[in-house]
Amino acid sequence: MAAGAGYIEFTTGDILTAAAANEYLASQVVMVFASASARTSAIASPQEGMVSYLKDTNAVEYYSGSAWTAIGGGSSGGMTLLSTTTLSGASTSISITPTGYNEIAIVCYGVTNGSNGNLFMGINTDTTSSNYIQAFYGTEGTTYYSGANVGVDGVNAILPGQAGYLGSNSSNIAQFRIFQPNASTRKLINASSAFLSSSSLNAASNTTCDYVTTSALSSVQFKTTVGSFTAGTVLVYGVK
Amino acid sequence: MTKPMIRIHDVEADSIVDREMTDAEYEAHLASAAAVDELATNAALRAEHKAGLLERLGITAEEAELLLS
Repeated sequence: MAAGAGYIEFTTGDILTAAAANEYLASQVVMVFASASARTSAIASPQEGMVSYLKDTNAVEYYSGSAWTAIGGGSSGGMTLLSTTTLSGASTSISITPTGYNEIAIVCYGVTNGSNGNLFMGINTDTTSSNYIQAFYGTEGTTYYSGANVGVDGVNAILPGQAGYLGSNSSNIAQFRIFQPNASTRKLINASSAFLSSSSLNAASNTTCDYVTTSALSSVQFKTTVGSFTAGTVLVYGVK
Repeated sequence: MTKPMIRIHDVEADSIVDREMTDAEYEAHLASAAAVDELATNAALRAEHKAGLLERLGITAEEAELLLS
């Protein structure tokens, strides 16, 4: 597609050629697409300075020359909704492209799966237990619990609550924040949850994880060992 | 036997695929379930031991928390 050419003032009698229309008009408007994939299909070679609006995420983005970047996020602090996913099956995988973001923030709510639901989040397809070094603290009514796991064999994921328990009803909420998702070094992950326990007590839990690997983030997996997810919404945000 | 299902949401391609677990995935899933059961059992045993200790000491959990703070 033609690159933006800046500004031109047409005068009476000028002939508007196809090239001029592409350079001065088509490539310098806010282009509207249904989704990022629709944009990729329509524009094989985006040019620096192009601007687009994505209807599925309500995001306005510009092309930096190497990537589509959210406008308004600025150099820091802006949040862009990257995806919305409904949990299903015993595991739901969500792809993530963290390029341009310093943090990936994930909110998860309304999760149900069997009568004693649990929820774990794995990074990429990593099941190496020693890569997940976690410390957790929580409370259920007046009962407090704490501990540390240097990887949990077989689980190998982030546990937002005590042993991943997220309550048996759908009023639960969990969040995960993955810092430095593009780094080829360790990542810091913080997870927390609020839920109604099996004893019908309000409960909360917080986990901090030193995720030790040299791979950049490319996906997350939400897993349960109790039946299958029957409900649950996951929102993934990119944060500058 | 039907294995549990997996959902794969490829955000870039805007596609969602639901499929049955592979044998390897199912094996990992069973191992996770066993690990979680062990976590829950250990937690229950710790809670039972703690309750017994508090009873022998004749103090409540709140009083123990205060002493340890």
